[in-house]
Amino acid sequence: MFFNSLSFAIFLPIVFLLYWFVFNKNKTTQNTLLIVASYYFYSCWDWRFLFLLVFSTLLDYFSAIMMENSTTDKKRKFWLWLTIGINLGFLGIFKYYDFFAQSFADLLHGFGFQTNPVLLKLILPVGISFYTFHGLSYVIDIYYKRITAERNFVDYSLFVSYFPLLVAGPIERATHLLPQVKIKRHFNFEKAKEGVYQIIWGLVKKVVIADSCATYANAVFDNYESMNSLSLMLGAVYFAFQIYGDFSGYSDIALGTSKLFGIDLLKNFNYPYFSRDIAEFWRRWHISLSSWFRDYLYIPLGGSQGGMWMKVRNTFIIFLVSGFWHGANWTFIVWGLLNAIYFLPLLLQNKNRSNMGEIEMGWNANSLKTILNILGTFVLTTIAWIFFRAKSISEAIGYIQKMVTDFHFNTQYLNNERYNIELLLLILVFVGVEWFNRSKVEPLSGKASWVKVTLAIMALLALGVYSDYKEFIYFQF
Amino acid sequence: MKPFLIFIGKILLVLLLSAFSFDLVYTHVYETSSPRTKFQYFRTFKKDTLDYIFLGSSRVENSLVISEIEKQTGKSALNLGFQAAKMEDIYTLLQLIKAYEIHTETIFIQVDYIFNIQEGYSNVLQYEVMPYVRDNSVTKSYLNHHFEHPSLLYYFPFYRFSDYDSKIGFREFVLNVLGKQTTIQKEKGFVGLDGQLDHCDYELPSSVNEQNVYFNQIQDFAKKNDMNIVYYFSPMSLSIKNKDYVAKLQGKIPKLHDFSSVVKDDLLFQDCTHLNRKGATFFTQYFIDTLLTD
Repeated sequence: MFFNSLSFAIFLPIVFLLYWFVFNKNKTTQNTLLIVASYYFYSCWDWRFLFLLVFSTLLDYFSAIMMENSTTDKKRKFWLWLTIGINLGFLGIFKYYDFFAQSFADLLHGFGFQTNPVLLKLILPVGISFYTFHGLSYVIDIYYKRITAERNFVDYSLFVSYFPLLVAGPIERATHLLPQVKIKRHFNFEKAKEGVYQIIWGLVKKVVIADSCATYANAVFDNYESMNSLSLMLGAVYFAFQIYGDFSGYSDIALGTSKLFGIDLLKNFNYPYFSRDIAEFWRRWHISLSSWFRDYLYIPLGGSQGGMWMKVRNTFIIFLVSGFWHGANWTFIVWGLLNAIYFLPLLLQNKNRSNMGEIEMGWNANSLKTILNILGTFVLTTIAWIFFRAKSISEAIGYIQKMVTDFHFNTQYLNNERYNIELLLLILVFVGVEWFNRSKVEPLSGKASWVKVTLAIMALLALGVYSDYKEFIYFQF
Repeated sequence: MKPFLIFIGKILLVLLLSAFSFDLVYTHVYETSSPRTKFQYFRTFKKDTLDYIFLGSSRVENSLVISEIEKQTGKSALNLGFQAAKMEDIYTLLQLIKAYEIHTETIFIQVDYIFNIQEGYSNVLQYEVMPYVRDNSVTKSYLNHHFEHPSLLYYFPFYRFSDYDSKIGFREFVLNVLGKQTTIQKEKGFVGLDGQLDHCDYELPSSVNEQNVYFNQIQDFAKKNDMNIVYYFSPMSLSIKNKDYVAKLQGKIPKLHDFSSVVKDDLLFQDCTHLNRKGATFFTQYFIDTLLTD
């Protein structure tokens, strides 16, 4: 059940009405309904993986209690590593086993040994990377005594399986979400309205921007060998907007949906393509994952303590792990590595926190510099996305090589019966709308909101892509 | 909660009004603009005369050059072959000729292995008909038959344009508004193919089905409406296997004109079953000489 499907359009109002009109007695009834709804939502993909979700919930729940009840550090450490081991074990088996087995076989083949690796070819349970990290943050926080273990199983289950964030985040923190599920929620009109605006804008990002861009990006990437420089550049730009519209659109719908139930989720995107350097980009893109890696990997590794070498080492580690988190393919690892390389000059010059404030524009040289920095960051990011999108490293290199050596810039006709340039206007309009509303969560609220909502709905109807149905990219992670 | 429910009600109202307005505008544009698709072009002949109409699949669409037929016979004609069309599509188009009150002298129907396919339809014809779902009962029932939720198509405003957005959505709408022409009108439905046959390993079915329900309906409909129908079998490469299928099919349709082997040179084919432009010109001449010359 995708957020942009008819079934979700039926599911959501039913849960909403039951939540506020039937199960509104206390927080336990509210939470129980949300758990049932969440399990139903999850089982719509594959009911068998529901057992995995329930097991993961039980494991983290009891481990946390055992950890808290432990009298010695040794025992606490035992429970922590047991939980981490089992959680990452599942993730490893489902997501990474085949990759390692095949890579090892390829390596042996390189040394002249012929092997036939046993591959599991398992279906990846939807959202496993998200809820695994979700649970891990909880047990690690308990271990470091940042929070106390949750004793109410219903509340904890909801924290793990809450349907708006279950399959593609944002990756929540117990410190943020648990306190909200532990109290009865009261209906707040303004918050619910904000939620609806966010859902509508998320849908625009997904079905108008991302799915339109996907049509073009796929046509270019799938036939890159016959494309010229202009088409390849456009293909990369289209993919950059596809993945942004897709994932940030999903996050907007998730956050908006959650607001309808009176629960705030962590902000996941903050207009990342307006970043002035790559460090700022990573503070604005998939924020819940970046901050997860910062808090649970970078800092435990020593963070920026211990001098420049440690800082560089740890930065490379988190970018490589972040890349690998996205998928079991060398392309994701290279994507992470590229971002680390982009990050390096900022780190060496201690400039990785130089663009922390809001972007201010005026008619002066500084603004021109800001625009150039934004464009430069976008170009770097877009080049990295080529590795993210390509099926293999050689394909990505071939794509970039052709892009910079072909030197033909005529408009090509794509195999989707469209010209390669047709979509640019829509993207420019979208960028304009986001630019002028960058201080807000979404552009629909505020003055003349009804005009803006009407335009958004009209865009959804007329410009949305429905026939070539596309699921959310991040569901595969 | 009440203000929120009113708020949601207003949003739904905006959605419905927008969908309704778009539906009206899109439908009007598709009904009145200069034709870009074959079905659009076909509709322009409402209450008009077309001496010859050719029905069938891409094996019709790619093989009969209408300009040649019109030039040599002095008759008006339309190539109404649709990619992947089956007998049901042909029956639908036959009914629409009647529904649109198009006067014809002869309707040529290409029948081949599609006689063996009971279920199936042309997705090209399906989306081309989509804007005209409310035209008449024939278009309605045709789409009803092939769509999971036909009532959405018919009653839910703008649904069909959204669901088939890549074919009849915003882009195609704008091209209609701008009057951008395709070759459909100029070529009168003929679509020429480039390229030559490389190798052929196509097999015709080894046997002919007992019957095809839609074929029977075509015969009944033509008889009832006094339509002059001529059945024929388009050329195929001589390399295809089970060629005796044609003779078996003639056993079912005695009046079937067999043109399956009239094009002997594989260089005139684009693939085993489709002629290229050169082949189409050759076959059109053969067709004129055989069936259209007194």
